Amino acid sequence: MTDPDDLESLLAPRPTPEPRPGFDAALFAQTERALARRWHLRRASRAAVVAGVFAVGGLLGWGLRPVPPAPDSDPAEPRVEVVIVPVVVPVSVPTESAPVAVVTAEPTTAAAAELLAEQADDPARAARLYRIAGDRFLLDAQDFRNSRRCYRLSLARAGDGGLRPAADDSWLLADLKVSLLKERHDATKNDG
Amino acid sequence: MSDGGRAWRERAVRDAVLAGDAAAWRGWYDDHAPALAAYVRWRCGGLPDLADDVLQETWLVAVRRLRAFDPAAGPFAAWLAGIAANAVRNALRSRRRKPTRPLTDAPEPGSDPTAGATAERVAAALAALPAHYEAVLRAKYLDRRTVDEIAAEQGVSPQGVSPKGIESLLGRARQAFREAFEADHD
Repeated sequence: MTDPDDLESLLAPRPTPEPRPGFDAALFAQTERALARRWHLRRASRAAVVAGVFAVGGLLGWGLRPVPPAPDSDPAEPRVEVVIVPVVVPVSVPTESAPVAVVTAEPTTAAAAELLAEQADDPARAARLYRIAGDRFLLDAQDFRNSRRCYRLSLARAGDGGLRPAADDSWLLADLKVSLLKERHDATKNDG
Repeated sequence: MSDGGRAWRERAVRDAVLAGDAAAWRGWYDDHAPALAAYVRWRCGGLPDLADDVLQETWLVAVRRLRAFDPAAGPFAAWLAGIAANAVRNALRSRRRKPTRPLTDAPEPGSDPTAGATAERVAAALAALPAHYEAVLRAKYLDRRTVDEIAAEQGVSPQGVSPKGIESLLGRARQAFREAFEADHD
């Protein structure tokens, strides 16, 4: 096989076969399908990338959002605020020269004076309030029975010092003091 | 068309096809399918079933790797021919590895019964040749170019090859083919 003509018979192109439209069309359709798959994959991967970028952005935004400060106490517990309201309170300031009497509000009716006298812990104050109630019953309402009752309670709270006669004693109170002194004198005399 | 113009056009078509332009693919396929089919038939020694398998494999590989095609490195037809040459080698290896498959096609009635075996030896010998020997044999026997035409085409390159150089190259290519052909027979 040294003659080049031998190669001509081997390497010369064969006669073109009959056209096969079925094979050619099927082959082209196969390439089209393969390309279409690649196009769809490419679009899907791009959509996935875009979705991923949005997801990462959303997560970053959620992670970096401002956090509200935590409440100091239990929100279920009602919050109590202490409000300081200035109140004017009369205060007596004793001085060396002239002692100033404590200004206290005096009851204006016999019933109010008797009520305060019943609630008073201090016997002297209770005696004074019963004395006021007796005066009111006597002077304002001429209620001798209640006035007498209040005078007797006042003298009982006042003790022995309360029986001393005073210039401002009403006639009923003076009469009561005299009666009580007589009873005490008679009782002492009888005991002796 | 200059090589720069060819590269610019093929890059535009490639990008259009990759972007999903079905019409661009249709036109590109139709432009190259006849030449590629003729080349594959020649490389397969005229074996129709082998040529069909190689042609199908060539186009599918081309579609898969279209993004890798660089028009600046060479024309699309040459890129397809490279894929086809590899597909022929793979197909021949596969045919010879399978013991149940006959090495030759069944001869048609009235034809030479040894034609199939000869065609397969031609295909194997061409597959065994270096690329530049295969290219000059293709220009001579498939494209039916004269030595002067081949030299003129090669002269486009900076190296520039004379007709005498082509004649010498063609002689060496023929000799290499004969040796491969005989070796396959042994």
